[in-house]
Amino acid sequence: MSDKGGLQLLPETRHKIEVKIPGQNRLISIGIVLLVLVLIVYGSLAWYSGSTDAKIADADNQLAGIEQQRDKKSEAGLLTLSKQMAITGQIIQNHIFWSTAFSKLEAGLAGSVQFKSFSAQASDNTLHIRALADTYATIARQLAAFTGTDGVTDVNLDGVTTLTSGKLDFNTKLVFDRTKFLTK
Amino acid sequence: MIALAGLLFFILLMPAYNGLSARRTALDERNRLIAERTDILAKINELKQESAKRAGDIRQFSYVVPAGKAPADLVAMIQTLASQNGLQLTSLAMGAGNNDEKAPYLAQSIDLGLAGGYAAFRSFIESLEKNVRIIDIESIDAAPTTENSPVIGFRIKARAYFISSR
Repeated sequence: MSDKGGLQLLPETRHKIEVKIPGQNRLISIGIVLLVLVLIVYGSLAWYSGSTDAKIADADNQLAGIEQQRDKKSEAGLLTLSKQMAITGQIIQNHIFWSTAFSKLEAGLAGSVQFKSFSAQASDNTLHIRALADTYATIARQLAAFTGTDGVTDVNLDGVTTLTSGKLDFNTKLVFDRTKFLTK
Repeated sequence: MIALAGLLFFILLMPAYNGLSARRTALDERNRLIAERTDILAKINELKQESAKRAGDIRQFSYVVPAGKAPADLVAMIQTLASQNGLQLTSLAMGAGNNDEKAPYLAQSIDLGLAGGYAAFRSFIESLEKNVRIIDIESIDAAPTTENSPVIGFRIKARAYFISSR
């Protein structure tokens, strides 16, 4: 530009005017925001963890308190009673009554038959009887009576011996159904 | 800055979050236990009160199948029943019996010798069967003590039941 009378109308040199446009530092801003956010969330988590730890300690104390309230002796007594109640019914159901069996046998006993000895076994359901009778007819009647006894499933005559007195000494084996013969 | 934030996310946030999850699980578990145990404790207290009211019945009931062998009670009971029914107790032995460890109850074997008449024996058997403590007779052997003797010798093998006191 020319100089007219020492007056310069326009400057010879131009200065570049720097204009800051918003958005140029966006990445930094986002980074800072994220960093702050991470720190805030971390702080919250740390606080919440501490609070949860306190609750856990409180719960542990409550559990210890409950444990102290337990009366272990009474609990053991109740447990034993519970076991007893559970098994008593089972044992009573399987309870055997030899008195029932003897009553049945006595009811069918012939008048002249005299028992000498007997051996009864619940485990193999047998009853061995040694007895004395006057005649073979009496033995036959007695065997028939045994056969007709409720619960007796089989009758065997193991042997008959004549004694010097004239009496007959006989051995018999009864096989029975335990559920009928030994129960009331 | 973003990279630092990402790094802190993995270094700080993730472990903190995982730790918090573990704590929440532990707390939930404890709260469940507290609820359960409180409930159980309340039920036990109810049962204790109920059992205290029926202490007499329970004591009688506990004789049926006692906790433990209670051999002293058995001996006293057998001796009493024998003498009450007019029999002489000539021998008495008690063994462990055949016990299955998994069985809900255990058995005590009893082997006893008696002497007396048949009527007394029948009465003894009935008393034994009606006794509070349950006894099952497994075998009976009877024969005169001597030839033509009116006194009969009886040998009885039986089982009494009990539950383990342990």
